[in-house]
Amino acid sequence: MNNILISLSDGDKRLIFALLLIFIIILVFIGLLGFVLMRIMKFQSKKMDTLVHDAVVTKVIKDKKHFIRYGRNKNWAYFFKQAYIPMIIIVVGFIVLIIHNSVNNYWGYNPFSTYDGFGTLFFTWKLSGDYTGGSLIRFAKLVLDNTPHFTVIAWCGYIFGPCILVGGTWYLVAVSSLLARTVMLYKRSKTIFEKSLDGYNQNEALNNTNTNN
Amino acid sequence: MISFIKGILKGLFYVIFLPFGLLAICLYAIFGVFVFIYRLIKLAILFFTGRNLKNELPEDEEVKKILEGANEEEQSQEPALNLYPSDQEMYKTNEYISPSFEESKIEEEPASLEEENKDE
Repeated sequence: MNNILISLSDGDKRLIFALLLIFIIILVFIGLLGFVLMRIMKFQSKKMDTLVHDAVVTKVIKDKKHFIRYGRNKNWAYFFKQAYIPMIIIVVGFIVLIIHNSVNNYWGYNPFSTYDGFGTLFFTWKLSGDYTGGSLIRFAKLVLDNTPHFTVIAWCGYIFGPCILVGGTWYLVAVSSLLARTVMLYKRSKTIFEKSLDGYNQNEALNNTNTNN
Repeated sequence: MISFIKGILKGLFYVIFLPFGLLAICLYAIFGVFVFIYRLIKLAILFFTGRNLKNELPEDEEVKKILEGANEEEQSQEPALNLYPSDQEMYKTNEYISPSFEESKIEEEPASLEEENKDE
């Protein structure tokens, strides 16, 4: 271990320290992101209570199995309601792509290409083949591959790309909401029909009835 | 400092469990597509056979009946007694006259008599 540390140059040590710092910052960032996601999912899971509330309060649902079956049906029905708009957006994107490919009679078209697709609107980099860094750790150099520009031939990518990104993200939000509600459903199924004897003493209850009589 | 360390530990926790969470979401997303298509076909069949598209569960209908019954019962009952009537409602009845109202009447009386004399 000591030999490795001695063999490291000052540049390497500085680089390791910087990498460690970046790693810690990434961990904190992921922690915050996870925390926010968990809060959102908790908020989304509250919808499950609204969906099954009336049936539980009016005692239409009799037991745990019935509750899970009913809750699952309501959950999927609500998911359908939430997901149909993103699904329509995604389907529209695919219809445009199919029309484009059938008109050009070319089915190998990449709608995210940086030449004639959605990628033309973004900065992209590629590996140059050169390396930089110290004696132990080296990084591959990147060179700019594409600067944002607009081309008419990429019209299909400009429709397909946003459709897939917006629809896909929306659909994933609906799915995460579905997952959160499912977790809530199983959590509630454990507590709703629970009968607790905490603090109950049968002898005490008997004594009370006897003294009343 | 403690919150910073907590943040790092949470980050580690989420880094470890993130792949499982993502896997669950992906599986649900794929399964969701199939369920979506199934429900879409079901809805199309309901639409073309001229049936109700709401496709309510039997439990929902039962709940609706119970709640409607409860509402009708509430409406058929006599209106509840108003335990805290407003001042206006009290003045309408002769049973209650507030003391302040009485005093104001006594104070006003002499003035009205003078006005009557002036008119004459």
